[in-house]
Amino acid sequence: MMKPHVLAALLCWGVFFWSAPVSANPKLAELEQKIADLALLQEQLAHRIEQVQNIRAALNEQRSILISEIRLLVKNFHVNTLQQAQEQTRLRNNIDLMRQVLSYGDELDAKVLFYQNGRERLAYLSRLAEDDIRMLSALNDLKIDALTTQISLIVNRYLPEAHVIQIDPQRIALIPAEQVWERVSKEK
Amino acid sequence: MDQDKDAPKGSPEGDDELENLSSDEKAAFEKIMAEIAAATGGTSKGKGDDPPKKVKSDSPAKASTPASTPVSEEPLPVDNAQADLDKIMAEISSKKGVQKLSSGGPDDSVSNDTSSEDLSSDQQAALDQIMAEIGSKRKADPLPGSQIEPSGNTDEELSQDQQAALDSIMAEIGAKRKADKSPEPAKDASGQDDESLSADQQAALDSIMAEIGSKRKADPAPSVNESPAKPADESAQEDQQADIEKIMAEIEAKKGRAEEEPEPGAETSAEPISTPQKKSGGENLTMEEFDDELSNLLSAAQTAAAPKPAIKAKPADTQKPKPAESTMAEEGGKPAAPIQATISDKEVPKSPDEYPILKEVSVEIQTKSKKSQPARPNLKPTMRARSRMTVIAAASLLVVGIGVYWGYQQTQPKRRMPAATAPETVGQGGQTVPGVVHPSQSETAAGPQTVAVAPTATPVALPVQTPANPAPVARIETPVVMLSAAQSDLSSARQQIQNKINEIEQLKSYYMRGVEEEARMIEDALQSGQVPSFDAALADKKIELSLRSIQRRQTYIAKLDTPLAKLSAMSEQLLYLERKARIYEALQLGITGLPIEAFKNEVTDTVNRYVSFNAQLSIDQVELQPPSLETIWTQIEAELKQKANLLAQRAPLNRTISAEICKGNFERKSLLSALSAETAQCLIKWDGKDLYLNNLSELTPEVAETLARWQGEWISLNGLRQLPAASAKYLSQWPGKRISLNGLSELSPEATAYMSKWKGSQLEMVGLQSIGSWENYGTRLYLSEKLRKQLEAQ
Repeated sequence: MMKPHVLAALLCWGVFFWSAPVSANPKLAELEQKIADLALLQEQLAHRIEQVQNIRAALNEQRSILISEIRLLVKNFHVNTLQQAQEQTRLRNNIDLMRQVLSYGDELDAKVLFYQNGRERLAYLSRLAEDDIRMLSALNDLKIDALTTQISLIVNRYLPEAHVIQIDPQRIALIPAEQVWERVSKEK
Repeated sequence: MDQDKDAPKGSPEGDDELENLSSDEKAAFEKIMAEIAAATGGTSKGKGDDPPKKVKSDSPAKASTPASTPVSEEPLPVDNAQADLDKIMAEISSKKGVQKLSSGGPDDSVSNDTSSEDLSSDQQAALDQIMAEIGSKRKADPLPGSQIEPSGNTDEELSQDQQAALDSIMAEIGAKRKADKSPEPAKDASGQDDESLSADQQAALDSIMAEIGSKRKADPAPSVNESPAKPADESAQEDQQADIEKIMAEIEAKKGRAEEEPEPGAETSAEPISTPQKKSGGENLTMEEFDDELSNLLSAAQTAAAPKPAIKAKPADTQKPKPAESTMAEEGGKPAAPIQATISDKEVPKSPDEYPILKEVSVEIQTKSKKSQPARPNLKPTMRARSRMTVIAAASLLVVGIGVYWGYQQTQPKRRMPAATAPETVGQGGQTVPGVVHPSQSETAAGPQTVAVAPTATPVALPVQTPANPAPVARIETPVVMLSAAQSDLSSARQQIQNKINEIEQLKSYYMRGVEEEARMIEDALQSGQVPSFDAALADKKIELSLRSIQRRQTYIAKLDTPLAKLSAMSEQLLYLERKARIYEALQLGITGLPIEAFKNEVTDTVNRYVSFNAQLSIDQVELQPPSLETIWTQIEAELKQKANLLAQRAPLNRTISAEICKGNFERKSLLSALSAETAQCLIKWDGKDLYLNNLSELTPEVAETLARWQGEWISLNGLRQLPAASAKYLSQWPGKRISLNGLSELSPEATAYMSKWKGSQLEMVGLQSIGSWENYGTRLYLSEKLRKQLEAQ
């Protein structure tokens, strides 16, 4: 038979250790989780930027080929206008290809900007969260609802781009041939 | 049957023996003797004469001792008993001698038995050894006692256990023999008789030995007491006892050796008899083991009666008293063990019941036969299994070979197709599978690095799979794979279109050259130099045929323009799709939702359209009116008049310039529109580095040969529209650095071959529309973009 005081001591010890995790600040944990999410999303966006840049480089290569050929054809066939260019099969095809290249190129450029902005915003939010963590560590409490809501909004905004570059080809409006012709003519 | 005659002689001997035995023993002895008499009743004297003689010849040796004197004077019973026993032994020995020895008396047989063994019967060999032991013992009797006593002492020590074992064995054998006493049918006259006799004799001997042994155990004292009174009896009994003990020791030694020796047949035959005597002390079997072995032997002997005739078929071989080793060596030089095994297999069953004692001696042989008997039935199944395995293996090899050949035949067309039939098969109108690409291409294009591949790379060697043999390549329908497959298909299809376009252009050039040749022939036909009218020209058959040839060739040239235009348009379309595929390939690295499936379908449709068009590529469908002969003549007439006028106009200028050149004035050399060989001789003296003769429209071989000796660096002949092969031959030998032939629109294959051998540094032919095979890539070649790609594709 165990003595009553020993039993009571064991009971107290158990209660103390059982209730110890419950007493940690949940806001701290939430913020730390948010910071981790932000860091992960930042890293994913960095990958997306790299991916876009690779695609952009490939498109630029195609663009260079097409433009050099267009210039050569224009020079050989003494083409001065878009109508004249459309009469030549190769020129017409190259202009059509340039429409796609330039359209997607513009879209990718916009995506790079979008991702870079997102990374900057995520970094900013991460810094805010770290500040609040320090505050919560020093003080008893702090309102973090606004910050977490903002973080959630930003994260939800960029989260779809975490794994895939969100460009819908169906929604891309190819730039008109005239615009292509102008841009090619300007680059002469 | 010979020994049956000796049996009556043995009956008085049994009466004398009865004096020393009790009534029960006497009764038993009488019974035994009756058995002996029954068994030996028919023995022939001829065979049994020798052993008794030997015994008698030995007895005088014993008689030299004091105790031996009364032996001769002793009453007959003792002698008769001894003689009876000797007779039995002699009978056995004589039987053995008849069976195994080809020559020699009993002494020889005994001596031979100690050193050799009859391979026809191991049991008989054991009996021979026993007999040899007895014979040697008898021979050793006259020797000094120092030589006999040690062995005798050893026998005395062993005799107790051996005697007990022998008694039990005898009892069992007797019981078994009674049980198996059913007379065998008479077979061979001699052989069967000998075997039955020896068995009976052996049985009688066993019974006697058992009886004597029991008597000795039962009455040891009387024999001692009677020893001084009856020294002859004692000596005879001692001899008998010694013999019996020797026999028992021999049996025990045999049994011991049977347990120890793995190949008893060879070793027992070679070993002397003294060897088992030395070993017999510690090698006794227990009774249970011995009983088991004996029962096994009996059962084996009963079941193995079949090989008997086989043994009898070779009596001469088995009776030769050769040493075991030599016998084995003579039998084909085969190894000893297999021979022995076969012999034992055949001979052991020969004496199943007739030699009970020998059976136990030949335990090892029977055991071996038991071991070897399964080997014989297993031999055929093993051979059969081997043959079956061989057949199965051969069949498997055949099937595998057929399979490999079939697989090779199946894969062979796929391997050959790209190199041998790719362009032609596509041109024959098979349904091209656009998604199918060369495996290496699909592998290399699968990764994202495909974007970095130079877009100007011409996949000339890429094959297009024919629809006749659609390659069953399992492809994963990912965008990357689809796009690379589309690129590959488009590229290969476009390359084939380009090749077809080049072929058509070459054909057109050929026809154009033909037209020019015909025009030249017409010019040559005009002997007077004046151009006749059309009717007059038609009157000349030669001119008429030339005109018709020109008409036909011009029609062909015009008709070829139609498919050429279509092919060019198709090539452009394919190039457009190919570039679009590259753009999609770059985009799909990060953008989803691209209309790749639709693009793939578009590619498929385009390629299929090309395939179907290529299959129907012909000028027969082209509706075109040929030019009339009058029109053609009008053109020729105009050209001839123009040429004449030009020559007339230029001739004075050329003559003037030629004269200036020959005087050393080279200032107006570039104005020469015609160059004669004489003027060329003067022209090559110019020491400048550049020779511009761009007004020359013709370069004859003579002029070319002369110009090839000029020591400058650059010849410019851009006014030439044609370059004859002979002129090209000399021009290619010019040691300068640079040649400009930009006015050439075509170059014959022969001229191309010559010019491709030129060792200069730069050759300009940017006006060429087509070019043949080029060999010298050390020369920097300036061509149009199209021709450059064509050359790269070569």
